[in-house]
Amino acid sequence: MKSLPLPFELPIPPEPGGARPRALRVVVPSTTPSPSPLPSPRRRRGSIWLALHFRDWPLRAALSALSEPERAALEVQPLAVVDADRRSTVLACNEAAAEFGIRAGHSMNAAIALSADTHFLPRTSASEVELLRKVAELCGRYTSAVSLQPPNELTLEVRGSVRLFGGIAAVVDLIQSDFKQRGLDPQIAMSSTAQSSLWLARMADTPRVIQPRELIQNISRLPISVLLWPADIELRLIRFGVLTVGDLLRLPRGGLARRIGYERLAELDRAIGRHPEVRHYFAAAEMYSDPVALDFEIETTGLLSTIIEKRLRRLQTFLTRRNLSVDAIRIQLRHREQRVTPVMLGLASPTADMHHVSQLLREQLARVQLPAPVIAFSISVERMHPTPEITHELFNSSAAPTRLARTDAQARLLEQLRSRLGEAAVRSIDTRADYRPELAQRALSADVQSEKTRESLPKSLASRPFWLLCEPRDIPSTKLRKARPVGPERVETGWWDDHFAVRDYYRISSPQGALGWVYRDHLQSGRWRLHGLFG
Amino acid sequence: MIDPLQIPHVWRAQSLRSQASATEPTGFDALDAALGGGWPVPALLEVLTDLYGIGELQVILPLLRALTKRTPAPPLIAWLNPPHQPNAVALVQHGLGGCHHWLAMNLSSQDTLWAMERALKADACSAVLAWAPTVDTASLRRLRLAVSTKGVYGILYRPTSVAVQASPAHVRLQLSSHSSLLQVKVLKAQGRKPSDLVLDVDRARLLDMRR
Repeated sequence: MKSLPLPFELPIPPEPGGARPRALRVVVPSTTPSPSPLPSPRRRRGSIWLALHFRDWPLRAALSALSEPERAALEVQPLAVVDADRRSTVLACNEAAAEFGIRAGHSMNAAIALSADTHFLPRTSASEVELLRKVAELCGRYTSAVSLQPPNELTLEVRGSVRLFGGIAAVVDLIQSDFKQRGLDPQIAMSSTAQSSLWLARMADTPRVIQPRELIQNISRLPISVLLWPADIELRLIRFGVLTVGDLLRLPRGGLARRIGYERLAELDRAIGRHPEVRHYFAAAEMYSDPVALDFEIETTGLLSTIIEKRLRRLQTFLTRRNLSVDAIRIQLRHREQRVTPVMLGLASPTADMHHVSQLLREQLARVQLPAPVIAFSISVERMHPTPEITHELFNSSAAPTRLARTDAQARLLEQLRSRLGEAAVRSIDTRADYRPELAQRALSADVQSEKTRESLPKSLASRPFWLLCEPRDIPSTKLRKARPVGPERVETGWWDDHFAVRDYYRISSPQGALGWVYRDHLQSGRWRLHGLFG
Repeated sequence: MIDPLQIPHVWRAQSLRSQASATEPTGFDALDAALGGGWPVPALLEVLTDLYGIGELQVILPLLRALTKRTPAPPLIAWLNPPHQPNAVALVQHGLGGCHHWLAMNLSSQDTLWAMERALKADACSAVLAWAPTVDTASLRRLRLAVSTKGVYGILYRPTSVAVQASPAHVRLQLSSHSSLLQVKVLKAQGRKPSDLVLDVDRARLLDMRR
């Protein structure tokens, strides 16, 4: 059978960034579809769903992560956000780039060919999530029932809000004007089910409001690309002549489920209201702030830490109820005349254990010099994390501590040491590939890593001493004459940097019996220096 | 002459350890014999030395290797206030490469002892090494208590001038050099007599002309 010429362009696969499915241009048949196999809409009272769909989301998110001057400088030039795939596919571009003909779906090379001045930004999923959360927090103004549809969509349940704000048009106007102020331009659609409102929003150039009785008629006209199903399924549907959602709804359910899976059939059912839909509502991040005014002035940090510790129990209760942990606590000590002494308690890993925090606080406060008596203080936490669930062993609960317990203990120890000895006092030492002994190791800021990579040293490397002197010590060569140095090992490297070394290393034994590692510095007229001790 | 062993309630000190409490091999046969099987488990070890570079780390190296292998990953050794910079390459060469090393240098004696006690109590390290010139008996007692309750080895390096002072440490060793060998004076080992011994700490190899 000869295939008919198709009345549309082949669709590009839906972008993970949620690029608008513009490429698929569908000619909707003007004849009204035969009415019989369409399921009758079961009207569910109570819900009005409003969906927001944001265009060019990767670009907006990438820009939102930049600082204001950077953004202003970038926005005027051609700009595109590229994916991390092999082609570096353009996910979104600004208008300046679009004028050169750059479109989403082009490869980076194609974009450069169109305009060599195009500035490329990498896609950052974290900033997309962050921006969507920000938008969701903003939507808390209109309704408490906001649910996220990553990467770039939101659904709001607005039945109550319609009454509050005085009509559907008022709500839509309010949302549009609010987002316009923030430089965002969402596509808005409203309908009686969340799923269908999302589909409609993806194609809505102007806000669309669909009455429940017109729902099926309206979504039937949508091209199947709004479903954002995997490319292979979409292509398969197009091959058997399904171009619109209406075509899909008219197919026999059993066969359709076999071809595209029950999951997708259920999605269709939810969209037309045949099945109820459960959506998770977005909860704004928790904040904690506890200002305390003192009845009397406190001059000593000892008493102060006792009082703050008592107050930390409130935070403990707050955290325990919500199963949250904190990794930073800000304590502000207020003095007269609006002066404030900030105390930051930073933790290496999130904890909900205020007993541990109290210990840190005591160490930290002991180092604080109070400039004036304290009249009030406040405890605040800006960021909280879900407490990790620790699985205990069923048997042998008293046996050796688990990995997690061990890492946790190390993190606590590190915090305790740092709070008294200073942030930079505890370092972790590690090897580095360099033949110069003083550069063959590096001191990192200590942290609790889970695994340490096994270093492999050159087999031929001679024994190195346990101790390295921080500053090599000069030794008079007369002393060495009797000592009969053993060696040499030549180290000559680093001509490319500032630490060029030409040295001959020897092992010598001192009269007292200590075994030292000395070198002759050929760059400094053969001076002898002690560099290490074989401990 | 009266044989003291005939008197009731008098017994030899060696038999105190007859309960055969667990020991950890030291890696040196002579030292194992002097300590009655090895290091006690766990123990606060006191190592007295004025001179560095005589093998003062080699003595405890087999212990550190054994401890870091046994603990649930990731093993960790704390170095508190060492006199010089520990060399990461040498640590790898001596089999401590798979282990994290935390280093805090230039601490006061007071801070060192505080940090050591914290590290022992935290139950986070495989072993804690500390160098403290001045230590009072009260903090030593606290260290011993922390070692006993948490079961972590604490190794404290002190100058030899304190050899005459009493100490609650489980084991006290005084080190000095004896040609290319290490002379160890066991000042205190619970349930054992003080003794003198000489250990070969693998130094002749380093001074061999052929290598």
